Amino acid sequence: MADDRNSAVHLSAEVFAMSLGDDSEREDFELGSDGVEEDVEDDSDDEELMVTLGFVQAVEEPWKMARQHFPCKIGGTPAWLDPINIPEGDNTQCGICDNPLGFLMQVYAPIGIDDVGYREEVFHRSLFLFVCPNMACLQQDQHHQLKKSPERPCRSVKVFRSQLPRTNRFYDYDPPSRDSSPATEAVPVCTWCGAWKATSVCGGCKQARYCSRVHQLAHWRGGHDSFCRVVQAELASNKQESELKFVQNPENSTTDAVRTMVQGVITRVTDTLLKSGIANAISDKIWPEVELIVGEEEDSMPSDAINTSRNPQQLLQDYEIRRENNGEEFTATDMEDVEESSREQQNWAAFQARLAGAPDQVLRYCRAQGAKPLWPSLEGQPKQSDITPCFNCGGPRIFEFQLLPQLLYFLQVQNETDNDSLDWATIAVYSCAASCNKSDSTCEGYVEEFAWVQLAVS
Amino acid sequence: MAERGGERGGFGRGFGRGDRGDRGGRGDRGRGDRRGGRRGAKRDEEEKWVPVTKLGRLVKEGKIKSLEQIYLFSLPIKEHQIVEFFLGSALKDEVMKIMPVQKQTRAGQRTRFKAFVVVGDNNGHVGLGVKCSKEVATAIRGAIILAKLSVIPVRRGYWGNKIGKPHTVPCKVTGKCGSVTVRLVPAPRGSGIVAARVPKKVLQFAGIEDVFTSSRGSTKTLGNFVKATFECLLKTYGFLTPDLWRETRFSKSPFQEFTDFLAKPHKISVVEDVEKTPVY
Repeated sequence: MADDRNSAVHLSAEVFAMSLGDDSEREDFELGSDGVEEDVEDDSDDEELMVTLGFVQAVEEPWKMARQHFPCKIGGTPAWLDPINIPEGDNTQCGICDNPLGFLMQVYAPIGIDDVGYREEVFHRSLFLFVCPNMACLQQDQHHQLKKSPERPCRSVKVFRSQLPRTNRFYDYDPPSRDSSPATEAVPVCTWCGAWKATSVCGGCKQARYCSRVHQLAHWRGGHDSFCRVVQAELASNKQESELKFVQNPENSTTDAVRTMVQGVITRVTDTLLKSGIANAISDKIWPEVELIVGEEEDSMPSDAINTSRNPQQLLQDYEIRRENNGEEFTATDMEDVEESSREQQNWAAFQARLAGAPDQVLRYCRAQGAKPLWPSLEGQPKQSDITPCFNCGGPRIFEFQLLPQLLYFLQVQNETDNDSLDWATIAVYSCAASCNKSDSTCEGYVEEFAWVQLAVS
Repeated sequence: MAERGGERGGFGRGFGRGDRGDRGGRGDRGRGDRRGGRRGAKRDEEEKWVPVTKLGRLVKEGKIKSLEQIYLFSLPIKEHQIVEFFLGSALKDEVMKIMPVQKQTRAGQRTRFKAFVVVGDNNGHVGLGVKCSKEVATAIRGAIILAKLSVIPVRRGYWGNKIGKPHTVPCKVTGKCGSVTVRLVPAPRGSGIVAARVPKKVLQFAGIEDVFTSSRGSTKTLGNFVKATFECLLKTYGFLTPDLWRETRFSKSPFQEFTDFLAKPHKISVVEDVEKTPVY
């Protein structure tokens, strides 16, 4: 531009006056596309879609974590929506190391009347996300999520969806009260992880159940070996009393009877409260249980979250004062030399700016036509063809929610080594647009959905 | 029994359009005063930082002692709060220029503002950030963050006698970027910074008091003059001077440092004795 200096000085006065006092968005009547310029960050947010945020909060009332209250939670044990037809077999295992997956989080996400895939008979709807705690698997998983072969790829991150109509055999028609227990009992789950269906029983004491050999071994070494022998001994000696008790109420008697019998054993005895709708786990490898609170995304007036810098307004005023006193210090030609940051950096800055309104958010939910996740990094984004169609009905999948790395901070994931600790940039979950049922007749069962993991670029 | 859920979807609180009405009791653990403006103390702000990257988590936990440790291993700093954590209030910032940039569109001209901000603590750290945005305040805000992310360490030395504080570059260093080469030469006290306007500002914020500069190449057209200056400043740490002749003890990268105790196989923790459980 020829008259750069003049125009700069000429325009600045009025333009500053306009922009300083007015916080509203200026209308951009621009018909051309923005793809021409290096505009990674879009100031004019065409995102009319409302995003719901999830925040972490300590569990205040443990009864709310029971499945009949349809919780949204992170860590602990899953509160299965359909307590009978839990996923089993290969679905419970990491596709790469074959160990059982760990429960990360679940959301209760019913579909509203204005949303995609709304159906009258689908009233309750939950999604469950499982991750293999091994970071090496997650890195291998990156290759697998790109595969588009007809059979299911081996993933280390799995998402399951379940839905039920309002009248179903598991829950009452009306919202539950505080002390209610679910209408039907759940299938017994593994005593070690509390997540998967228990397929085998401990041969010694016949009390502990397991979903896999791995967990049986873990529990054995984790204290069950001493406990099991004691129980066996007691069983042998107090045959009549204990046998009766065990036969009638195998679950409940565990605490009382065993506590009296086994005084000095240093083992954590947790009873599986299958009747109250909450499963307990003994494993210390599972993530700590916290509640997931729903919140709205505010139009961030973030700003002044920068503590060590002064307010931008103040800086601007200083600049103006200096200009008035000393004249223009730097010309535009001087500043041409200073280059802007790369596209990747700009994208990252935009990502952080978007989070700035609520820095402790861990989940972003937006299930609508045309909703896109907020990607922290430019590379590693899926193309439309990478999102596989629904395994169940073959229909397309749409974005539902994404997990943010703040979650790792809240879960206190150990950061010691760079290979063992979990670290990701974001996990985006795509679910069937039609929210199809597992089978035609009933709504029961779990459908596997698609998760896209974007790892942090170091 | 109050009928909380409607006929449409779900009971009580959940995601999607289910029902957000229950948020009133729970969801406002202090979230309500977010809009009331930030009058809180500085400590309040720092606690609000939730790290997003692994390095951020390590810094927040306190596992990293200084910014220099991060520079030593050339780890990319992606969160500006990391820099704030170490440098804190010593970091000063200043707007160098606000430049309106125009783009021709069918409906006229679209003006955006480009803000140039330099941050530095006058004590060996300086950074420069550029951001373009529709509003001036947003551009400044973004530029401050980018400047903090680009903070580099600057080493200072003496021209002659080693009395007082270091005031100039420790030796002659040159940096090259594109076709531009910039050479920084130590100067005696009182010389001041002899350089072009923008590098002069950068060097001031770095804490260098006296230096002679000389540049070559087409500094006017091809630009990257400032980048060459930055390269120069970075090189001040790469130069081996006699006082560094003592052998370096290599330390472990923060990501490696805490591996030692995990040397044992980690699959299932064998708990034979309660006392033997590794406590960390």
